[in-house]
Amino acid sequence: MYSFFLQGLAQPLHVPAHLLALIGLGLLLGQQGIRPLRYGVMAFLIGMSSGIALTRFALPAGSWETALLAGAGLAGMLLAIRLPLLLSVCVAFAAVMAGLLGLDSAPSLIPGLKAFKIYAMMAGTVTSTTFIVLLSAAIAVSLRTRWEGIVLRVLGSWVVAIVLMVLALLFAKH
Amino acid sequence: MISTQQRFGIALLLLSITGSVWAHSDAAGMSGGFFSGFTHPLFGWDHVAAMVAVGLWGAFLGRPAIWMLPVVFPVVMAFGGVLGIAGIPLPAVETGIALSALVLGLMVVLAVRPPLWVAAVLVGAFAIFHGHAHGTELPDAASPLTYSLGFVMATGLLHLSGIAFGELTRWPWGSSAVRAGGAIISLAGVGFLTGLL
Repeated sequence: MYSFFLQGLAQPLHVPAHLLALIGLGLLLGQQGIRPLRYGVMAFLIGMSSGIALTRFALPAGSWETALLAGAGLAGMLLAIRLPLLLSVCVAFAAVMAGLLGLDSAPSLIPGLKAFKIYAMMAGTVTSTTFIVLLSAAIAVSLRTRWEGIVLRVLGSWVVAIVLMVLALLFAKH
Repeated sequence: MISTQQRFGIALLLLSITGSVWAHSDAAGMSGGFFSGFTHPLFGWDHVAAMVAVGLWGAFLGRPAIWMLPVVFPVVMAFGGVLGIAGIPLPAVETGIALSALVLGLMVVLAVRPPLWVAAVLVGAFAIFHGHAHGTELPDAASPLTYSLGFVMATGLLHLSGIAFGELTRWPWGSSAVRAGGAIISLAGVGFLTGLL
């Protein structure tokens, strides 16, 4: 069971779009301050758990990558302009992004795989995604007042630029 | 001196990066995509000169231009890249790129301090040419995301190197050194424009 949990832990690292969305969201929450960060992470945890659970019980697994990338781009834009957001907006944004991430993180199902192993993978994914958001947010908190928050703004613009190019490349390929 | 907390943070960050690159079943494609994207802006001297000049000018102009220009450039460059990827033609792209090195270098040499919006529009206009050139030259990248990640990071690091050099203006002798750097970039721009370089 432990190996399935580890597989789940590593899942976000295998999908660069997830990593970008997690880092973008974490940096945004950290930039907004401690209170939005605290409630945002709670919303993230609930949204992520709900989203990933939905793939098991209700919704068929599908690709939510484009929506996730768009969300990451929005997070990057908000980071770059350093717009103070309402607490409710931060919480809602974290919940929606987490929900999308959860929906896009369905474990690959092998016929005969026992349910508890699937739950172990899901638990691993929820743990690592929350950790990445927290880590990014911690970095953002330490940088938000340093050098007038320039580093966070520049990182935000990088996220926007990456998302724009990736979406263009994805659409061009299709 | 780096504290234990900072070391731990850096180690975690590096671990997460290596994981994302090597642990995937398509590891070769992903790391290749990142490497290909990262080296793409570094192999064209005209791009390198212009991007360093952006950072240099930003540092020379001081706050808020120091962060505004390196924020504007990648976003507008990505927009230009989208035009290039979509195959939307843009006239005189190579001339625009060569001119960017010449003009931005001159801005530094002559210590031109226009209003912030003028500097942002000028840098943004040149960024479209750079982005378009990269967009049309893009290989069929194995992983669009890692390619773009490498590409944008290299561009940003070039800006940061320009800013770091531009920070020399804090010292009395630094201003002359920075302006000399601008002169070299503008001369290189003349070389790109005339085809000598």
